[in-house]
Amino acid sequence: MSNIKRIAIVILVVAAVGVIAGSFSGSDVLDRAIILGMGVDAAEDGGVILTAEIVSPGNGSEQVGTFSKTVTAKGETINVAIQNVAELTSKEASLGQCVVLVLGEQYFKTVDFSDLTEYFINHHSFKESAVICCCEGNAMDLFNKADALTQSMSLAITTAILDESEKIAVSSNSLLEYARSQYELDRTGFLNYISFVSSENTDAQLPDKTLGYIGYRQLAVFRQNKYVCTLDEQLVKGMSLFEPQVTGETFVSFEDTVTRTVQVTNKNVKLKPDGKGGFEAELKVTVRYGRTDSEEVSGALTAKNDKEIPQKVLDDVSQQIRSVAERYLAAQAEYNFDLLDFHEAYRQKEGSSDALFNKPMSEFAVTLTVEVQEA
Amino acid sequence: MKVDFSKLQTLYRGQDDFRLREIDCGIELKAVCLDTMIDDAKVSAFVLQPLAYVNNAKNLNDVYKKLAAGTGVRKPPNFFSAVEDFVNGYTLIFDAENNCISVDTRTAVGRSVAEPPTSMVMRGPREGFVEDIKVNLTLIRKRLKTPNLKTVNITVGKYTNTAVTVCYIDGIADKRVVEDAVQRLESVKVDGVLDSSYLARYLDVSKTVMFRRVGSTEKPDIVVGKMLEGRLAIIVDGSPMVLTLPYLFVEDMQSPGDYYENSTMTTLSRSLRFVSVIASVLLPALYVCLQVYNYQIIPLRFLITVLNASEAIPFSPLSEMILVLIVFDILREANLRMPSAVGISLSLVGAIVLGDAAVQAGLLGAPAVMIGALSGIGLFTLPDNTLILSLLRLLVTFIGGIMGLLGVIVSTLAIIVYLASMQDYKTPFLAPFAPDIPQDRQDAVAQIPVPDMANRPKSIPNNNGKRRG
Amino acid sequence: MDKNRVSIDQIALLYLLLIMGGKFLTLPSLLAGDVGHDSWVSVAFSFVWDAVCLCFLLWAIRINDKAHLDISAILDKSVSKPVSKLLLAIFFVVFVLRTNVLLSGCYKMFSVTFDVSTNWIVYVLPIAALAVFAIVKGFNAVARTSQLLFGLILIAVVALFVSPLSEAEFGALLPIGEAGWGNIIWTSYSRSFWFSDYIFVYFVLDGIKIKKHVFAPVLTSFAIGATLSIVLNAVFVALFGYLAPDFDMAMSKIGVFSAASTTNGRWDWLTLSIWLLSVFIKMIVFIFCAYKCIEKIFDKNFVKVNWIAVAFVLLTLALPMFVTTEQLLNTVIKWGIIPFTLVQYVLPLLMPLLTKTALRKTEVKNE
Repeated sequence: MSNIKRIAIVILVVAAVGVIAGSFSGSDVLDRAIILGMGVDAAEDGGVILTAEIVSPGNGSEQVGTFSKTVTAKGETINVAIQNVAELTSKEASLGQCVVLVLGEQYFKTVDFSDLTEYFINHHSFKESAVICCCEGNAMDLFNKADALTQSMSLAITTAILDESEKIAVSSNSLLEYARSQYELDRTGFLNYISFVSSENTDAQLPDKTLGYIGYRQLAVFRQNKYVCTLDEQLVKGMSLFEPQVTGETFVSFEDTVTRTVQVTNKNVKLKPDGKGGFEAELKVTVRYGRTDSEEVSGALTAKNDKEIPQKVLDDVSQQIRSVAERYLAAQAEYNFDLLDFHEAYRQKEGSSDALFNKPMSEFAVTLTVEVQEA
Repeated sequence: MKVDFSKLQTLYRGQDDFRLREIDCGIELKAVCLDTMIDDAKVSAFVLQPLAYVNNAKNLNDVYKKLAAGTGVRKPPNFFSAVEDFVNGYTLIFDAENNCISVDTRTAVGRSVAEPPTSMVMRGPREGFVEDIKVNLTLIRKRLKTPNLKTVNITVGKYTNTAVTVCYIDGIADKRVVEDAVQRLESVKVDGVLDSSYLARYLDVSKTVMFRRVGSTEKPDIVVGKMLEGRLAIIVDGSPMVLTLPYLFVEDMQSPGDYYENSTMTTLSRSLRFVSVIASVLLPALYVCLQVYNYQIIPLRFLITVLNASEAIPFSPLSEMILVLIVFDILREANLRMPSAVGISLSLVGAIVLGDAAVQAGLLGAPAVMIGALSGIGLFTLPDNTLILSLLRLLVTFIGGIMGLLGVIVSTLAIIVYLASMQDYKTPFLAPFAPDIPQDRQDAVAQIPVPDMANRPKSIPNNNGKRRG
Repeated sequence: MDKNRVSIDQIALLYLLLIMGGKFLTLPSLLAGDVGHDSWVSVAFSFVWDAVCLCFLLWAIRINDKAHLDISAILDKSVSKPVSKLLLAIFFVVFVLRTNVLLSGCYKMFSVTFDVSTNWIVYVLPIAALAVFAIVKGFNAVARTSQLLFGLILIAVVALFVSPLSEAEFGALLPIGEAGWGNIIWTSYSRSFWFSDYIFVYFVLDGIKIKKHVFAPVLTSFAIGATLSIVLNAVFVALFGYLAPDFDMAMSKIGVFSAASTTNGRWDWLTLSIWLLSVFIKMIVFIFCAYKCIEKIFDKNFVKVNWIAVAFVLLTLALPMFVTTEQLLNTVIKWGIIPFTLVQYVLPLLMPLLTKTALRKTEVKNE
């Protein structure tokens, strides 16, 4: 091969590499505002106020103290608000690591936020598995406080909802599950309703922050992204009784002078259409004495307790379960929401129809049987 | 056959080590040798002493018969053969009619057989090849006591006249492969062969510029093991590295000690090598392209660590990683060339002090240094292809840094297609995986116990598929 | 060595990768848009047609075992040269269109999911280079590559659909056939452009090495590939329900629940990248087949790589610069479905007969 040919090939290769290198545009992680969590509040003029918790690198490789900062921006829509966050931080707002989306009280109670869920569902980077919940008061205030133990508010909320509440108290919803519930059939769904419980600030590194913990035992119910009602702790307990994956509910039995706490370790829930337009609900609950060190330890393989629970206590617990469950079913009928998928069960059997879609919850009669036994 | 003595004398005129001795044993004889190539004691014992008491020889044939003390006595067929013997340390004896006898008086200067430093083993034979072809052949014959061990001798190199021996086991090795290799060696036109690696390039049929296509080892047990699988061995005088043919990529993942260990342990360690090589080539590229394009894939807490570590770094993730890889390659290169006495301490200084100082100075991020070092070390599990893989790693990192996962996928696929297309001596380079040869997978990454290996590998052409058959 | 020779085992594995390669990009959302939660049933129907045609094609391979006639020889001798050229031209269009649809699906995947934004030419350039490299190295190298990678890709695909199983609501798939059986079957026909991946076999007919079995390895691969595709479609609809038609990048979204915790990062995208290898292999195979089409149409036998033919095939990859994928799907493919059906579904059924006719004519000529 002649030298000219060789030189031509080298020039061609170098030019091709140059063109290709110049035609791809990536963003270095350092040029990104990596958002850990977001809070959305209603603005007075009809727009949204977005509070974003952004990863803020410390100095050097050691991770010392807090590693996030919050930025608040206003916008007519959520998209504009996110762009404003990018403008404020001079970095590209990146939602790929966002773990939680919190809706402020005023926002979720007064605004139809269909466009918000749609925006996040269609966002290429936002994870559909991220937790979506609503909070007492302003989301902005919540993000400007700090969790006493984990410090990052987004991580604290996620841990509270996914790791704690789902195992022992209430079910939770990812963005996808919630969005589906608002689009499908009866279009009702719920979000975890969290609150901030303040505690004394003893952290020398964060002298100005309000420290506290996340309370998570309530739910807010929505239909087509509009607020319906809030379920208090007792109603939530009633609902969780029908959720097989949630175990750990506790019941207190007073017998003469002795107070006993028992905990649900395993559940067998059967909820099936009875063929007459109603439902047969069968709750088989296994309980044991409550333990605090391993309250999550439950399920079919849980070790048997050495102390036997008196039959009287079991009967009492059975009564309590029935009353809590019935209260929940009554609330379901009263506010006409369907979190136990009554409509879906009939759709699977009979197919979709307008008659089914429009059937009110009060028309689904439920026959409830409760059976409690010791683990 | 006549060998022109005066021509030889002219060739070596003025050379100090050219020695000529005239002997009278009934006829006039001239004995010549190269002082630097002979053993004085051998010349004395095999040439001078036997001839000292002879005074009735009538011709050179009588002299030939009197030289009974020497084992290597022969009549060179032509001038070139005589010169070849002469330069190799033979003593040539001429009569007045230019008849010639050559007597083996070669000096035995050279290393003694020792454990090769490049392939030490915990268990197993410790003998290694040396530079002397005769010793090397002895080491092989010692292990293969069968008349089926055949050798083909060739001389290669216009000036070096290097002896090359192709060994194979008749009845196992495929004759066509032997013929092909011998033909290739015979057609080599080169000034000199200083090491077997010179010939390896000529034996590479598809002229691969990247991967090694000819195996080399310093251990006779490995060579014999490979010959028993149908390969041929090529011994080159002056080189302790014996070449083996055909060569598979997977051979580089097999260590000499593998066959002397428990097969489960061997499988485990080979799997580790396999994983470490893949990780070494891809890890730096992934680290860079995840930082530049797909930060979502990085676990959040690790991402925070990366952000913390790289905030003060003046380079982009791509240049940072390329720098780390180049520094590592420089350290490795320097370490190879350093005298062993300072090598260990300097390599420690290089690795620890340089890396730590770079991190402390805010020049490089700790995760990048860690990944670069991990990737660098991982490649050494493939000793034959370390350098080329190190180059490929740089290339994939560069492409990944520019084009993200698209670049990593395209370049990985291109490398695999390239490797899969290679086939020399009827042996696919990626066998037994591509093409899939189930029978040969018993000794590829996983290894079954040696007693269960009843068949020879199918990927190596052979005439007898059954071991012990 | 003939660098385009392949064994029947390699064909089987390559076919498996081709089945998995293109079906999880935009197809699941398109099918969900057409027939809702019954999309997996529609996929199952498509595979039933595929299975029948595949069996006939394998039969033809069996008949062609000794003679090793190539597709143009078979068609020339059995249905006349003009018809043969026409069929080859249709094949060429099918391969080019399928490559373009795959390319644009991948382009979307990279720009939307992987954040790699660039222009079409620069995006296509490395893939085209890879395909040309594969053409130079021969089909055998591609087949071997598939042997090396199929296990890894299979594990990646299984991992991708196993991870969201706990989140998927399989009850949503009931009642089966709610979209109407006629509608489901029509959908499986109208979306047949994405199926019948066995068509690449036509262009390696002359290089197939048969050992013992022809049907068993290929049908096993087909069964695995078809099952995985059906299951993946089912999981996709069960996971996204009514939202499924909106998720046009099925594979990039399906693994979103794979990480145990939301802070674990999108490890599923690495698995996804492994699966993407099969998409690239599919594109390489189709580009190779398009190149072979040109060879056969012009009655040439390219001993070395013909750069004019390569350049022509690569030029067709610029099609999406002028026509969007939607336009392509709604016009060319919608109207082209009948001729495409001819080569995808009718020709395989006739192949044994055509091969026998061609063989008979070859024998007569030889005598």
